[in-house]
Amino acid sequence: MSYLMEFLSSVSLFGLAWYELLAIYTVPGVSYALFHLLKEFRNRPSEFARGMLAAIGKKKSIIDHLINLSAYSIASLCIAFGWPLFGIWAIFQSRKEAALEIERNKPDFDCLPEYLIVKVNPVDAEIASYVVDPLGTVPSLPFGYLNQGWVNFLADMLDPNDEMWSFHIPKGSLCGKHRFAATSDMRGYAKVRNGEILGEFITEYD
Amino acid sequence: MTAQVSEKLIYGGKEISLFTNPLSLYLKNAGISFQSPHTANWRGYVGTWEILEHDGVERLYLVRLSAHKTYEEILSLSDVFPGHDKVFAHWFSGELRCPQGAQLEYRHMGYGSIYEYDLLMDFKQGILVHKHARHNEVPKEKDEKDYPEFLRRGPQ
Repeated sequence: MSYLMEFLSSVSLFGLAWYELLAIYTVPGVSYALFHLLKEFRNRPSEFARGMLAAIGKKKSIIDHLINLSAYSIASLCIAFGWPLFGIWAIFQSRKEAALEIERNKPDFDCLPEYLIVKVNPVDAEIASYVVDPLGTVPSLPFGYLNQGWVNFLADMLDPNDEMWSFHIPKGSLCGKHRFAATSDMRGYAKVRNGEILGEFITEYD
Repeated sequence: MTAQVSEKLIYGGKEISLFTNPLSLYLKNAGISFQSPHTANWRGYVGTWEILEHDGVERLYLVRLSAHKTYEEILSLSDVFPGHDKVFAHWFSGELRCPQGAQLEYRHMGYGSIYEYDLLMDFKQGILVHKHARHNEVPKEKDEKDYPEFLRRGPQ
């Protein structure tokens, strides 16, 4: 013990004693812990909620309060002294959350790279797309009634690296971001850039 | 989800229920959506379809439409497809399911209810390629142990 005290007494930086250095070190952690304690305090159950909990027999006993107090004290001490680790953890967590957010915001296309068949020229696709209807109800436009979708799809192919591929998703295959099973065969065209699917135009589906 | 009002199919001179929505791909492509008038019609429209035969080929046509632009304003087929009194569903490839006979089990979800028979018709680009009927049976009452463990209720 005396060795420890001797060692600590010898520690000095910028003329500050060990306990002053320790106090400076714990300032960020203590602030962080206080901030969260305050947040917890402000989010405590309201008078009404406490009354409801008491009514259903879930009123907190003295023991519960003591357990809570010791849990908060231990957590505050851990944060006060281990704040650099908590900081690293928070950075990792926020990066993970940001990556998840990007994944969530990605557009949901049914077509996946494994269903691409062949690179197609839009002119050839149009020539093959005219619909035969003996009753003459279908407009004589590429892809008939789906022409508006086709026009929108083409209008979106602006980058010189954009390629148009035909695709076929067999019935029952897993498709889309959430990998649902296709309820029928699905055919269409996909906009592909550097191997990534950035758009799709479905021509056949149920 | 509430059981949904079905589409209609005129087949063999009779109007029968159709538990498939062949119009959905067209609406998705055209960027059209309708207003749901109530919980039994989330898609906001009811279409009437007919299979018309020409030179031995049977094709699927939309012949009537009642679609809610708003709760009060209802659009017809000619509003959505101006200048057309019928629309060939050339985009539709898949199976039409028409329930027939008595309802064996009601399911409070989509087109989930089970009927005695299902008339199933396969279409390729709007052309009928195959049809058959499927006989359904009353589904076996499910017991607690038929569910995966994480879905069981546990001790009561």
